[in-house]
Amino acid sequence: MIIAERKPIDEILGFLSKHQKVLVLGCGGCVTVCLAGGEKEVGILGSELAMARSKEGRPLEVVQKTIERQCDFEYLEGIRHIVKDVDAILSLACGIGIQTCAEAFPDKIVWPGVNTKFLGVNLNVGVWAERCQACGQCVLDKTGGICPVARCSKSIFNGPCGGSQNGKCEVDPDTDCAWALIHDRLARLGEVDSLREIMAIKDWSFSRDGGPRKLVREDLELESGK
Amino acid sequence: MKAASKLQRMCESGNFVVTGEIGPPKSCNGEIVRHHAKMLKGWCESFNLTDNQTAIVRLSSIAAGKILLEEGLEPNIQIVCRDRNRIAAQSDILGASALGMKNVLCLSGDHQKFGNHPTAKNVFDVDSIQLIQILDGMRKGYFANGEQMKDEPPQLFIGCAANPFADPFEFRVTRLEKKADAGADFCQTQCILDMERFERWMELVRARGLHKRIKILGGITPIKSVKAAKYMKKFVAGMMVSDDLIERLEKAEDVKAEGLQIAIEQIERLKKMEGIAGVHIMAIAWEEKVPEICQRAGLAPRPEV
Amino acid sequence: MSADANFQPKIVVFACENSGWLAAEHAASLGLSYPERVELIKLPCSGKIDVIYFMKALEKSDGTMIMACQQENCKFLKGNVRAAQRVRQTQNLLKEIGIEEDRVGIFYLAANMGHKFVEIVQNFYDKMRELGPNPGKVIK
Ligand code: SF4
Ligand code: SF4
Repeated sequence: MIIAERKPIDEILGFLSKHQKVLVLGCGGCVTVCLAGGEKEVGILGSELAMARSKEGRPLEVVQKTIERQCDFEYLEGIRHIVKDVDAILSLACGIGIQTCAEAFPDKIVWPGVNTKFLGVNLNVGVWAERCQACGQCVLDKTGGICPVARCSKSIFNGPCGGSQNGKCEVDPDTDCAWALIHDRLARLGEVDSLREIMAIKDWSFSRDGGPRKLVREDLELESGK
Repeated sequence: MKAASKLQRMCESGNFVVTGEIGPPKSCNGEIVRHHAKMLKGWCESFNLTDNQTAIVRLSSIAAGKILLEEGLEPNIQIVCRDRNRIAAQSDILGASALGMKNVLCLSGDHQKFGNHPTAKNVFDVDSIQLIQILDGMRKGYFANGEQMKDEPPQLFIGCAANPFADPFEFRVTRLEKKADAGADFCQTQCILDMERFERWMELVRARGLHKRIKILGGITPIKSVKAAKYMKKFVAGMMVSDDLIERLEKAEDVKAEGLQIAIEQIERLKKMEGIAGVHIMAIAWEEKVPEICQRAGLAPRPEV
Repeated sequence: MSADANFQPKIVVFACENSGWLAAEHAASLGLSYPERVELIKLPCSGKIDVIYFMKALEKSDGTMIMACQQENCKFLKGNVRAAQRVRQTQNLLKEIGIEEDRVGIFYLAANMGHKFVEIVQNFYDKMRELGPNPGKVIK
């Protein structure tokens, strides 16, 4: 899922300083699961903002709403009547939701309320870790299901580098060396010899390096949509 | 075809090879490089020029290499994958070659987190093994995309690093094998501060016959203080320092003299070790001791090849 | 110290039905009284409290608290531990926006402690009087 973290309150208060009425808009998707921008976080942030502004003597009217998914124009359509009455929207969705929201309401200022961090997994209460960088051409088949692009600090394909020690990465003693994990898992599966083969240079054109990506599946396109 | 580099000729001659290292300064003061070049001239076949080592911005390795050439020393250009994509790397290799540099050492590069620009974006378009492959292709006349060069290909003697002290231990040998497969001609190891582990690694290297495919130069670093040894043991990832070595330094009256003595003994030992083609002396911030080390270890004068 | 000597704080007390709530009933049966601008809200366990309830309470009051079972005595084992964590989280939020963190608190007691209940409420009330009105109050 997409992991996000709420922006610091001072930054958000700064964004909203010139507004009198804002919509704090949550999303029921990933940010709800990672506790950054779901209904509850909308409620808490809403209170925090309203109280902070009351204290300053410049009251802020906070409308609170959480929709199913902000990365979906259909759900955003459903709140057009609320959006109409506010000065601006503070979106607690991921970067995708924030942009979709801005695209749906071209005449409204949309502020980002979270920092979108990475694509990852929830390891423990309050702990998330990166797992994928959407490189566009998955190599997990060759690496025992462990991603070298996202999980090796140097995204190398023929690791581990010389900094790997005791299974940890040279960059941070609390981070597992992805290549140590790959090596150990393939060893357990009896496949470690596959690592003797050199993994060829990667075609990054499928990744962000090829420019903004777009996926079109003709099998799903409606005739009229063409 | 132009003549092979002196380093290559030495490696092929079967003589015990000696390489050194010069770290370019954090300024445009080429005189610092020149000063070290003058001091070290004649003591080693070739000198590594580090490439923004530990991710700290320094005078470029190729520019420093040019200064070495002017001073009559042979450079060994280090090139890290952290700062260049395949386009920049190949371009730099062509440039270095045009200036007369023939030895190139491919490295992943220390992560920028440790350097003086930790907020930088890193590149890592290719890794060190893939870079070796690219250079091997280039000297055969092909760019990384498979396109054939229209002109004479660069003449390269390709090096790599190996770290017998990183993990997983046995895989370190496989990794060296991959580098040899990729086309590396020689390899300089991480500095040896745990001789026992190094010997075990060499056993595995010999068992696979790797020493016959790639020239292995053992890394030598004279240690200046007990503190430095302990620091390396504890904080430098992929570094091992044996307790014996620390104990010897601790007991010594003159720690610096003992550090030099240990380095010399290590060289003597490597000279006798099967599969070792030479040594790579990295006297970090202690370059002035290189002549003494070489002399006392019986590495001087260097043979003509 | 509040400038307004007549200031009567409004307080929202969340009470676990196994301790605080019963203690309030016990106090009533003993005929003990406490300030009138105190709103009591029953929760099935102190662990049910959440940052958002505290924040919503503070939008309309001067202080809020949770009354939980004594340590090691939670019917649901860790409810009171969670409640304490949420108090800390709320305090952090208040600190961020420059509001006194003492406006939220946790207090432990048992079902048969009517006197203790009144004492806690009265002390908290006095404390809020000292702090003065909640500067962040939204609904006045
Ligand atoms: S290889 Fe690419 S697609 Fe597969 S997990 Fe890694 S980043 Fe994601
Ligand atoms: S230590 Fe492992 S994870 Fe870290 S950069 Fe090296 S290979 Fe990648």
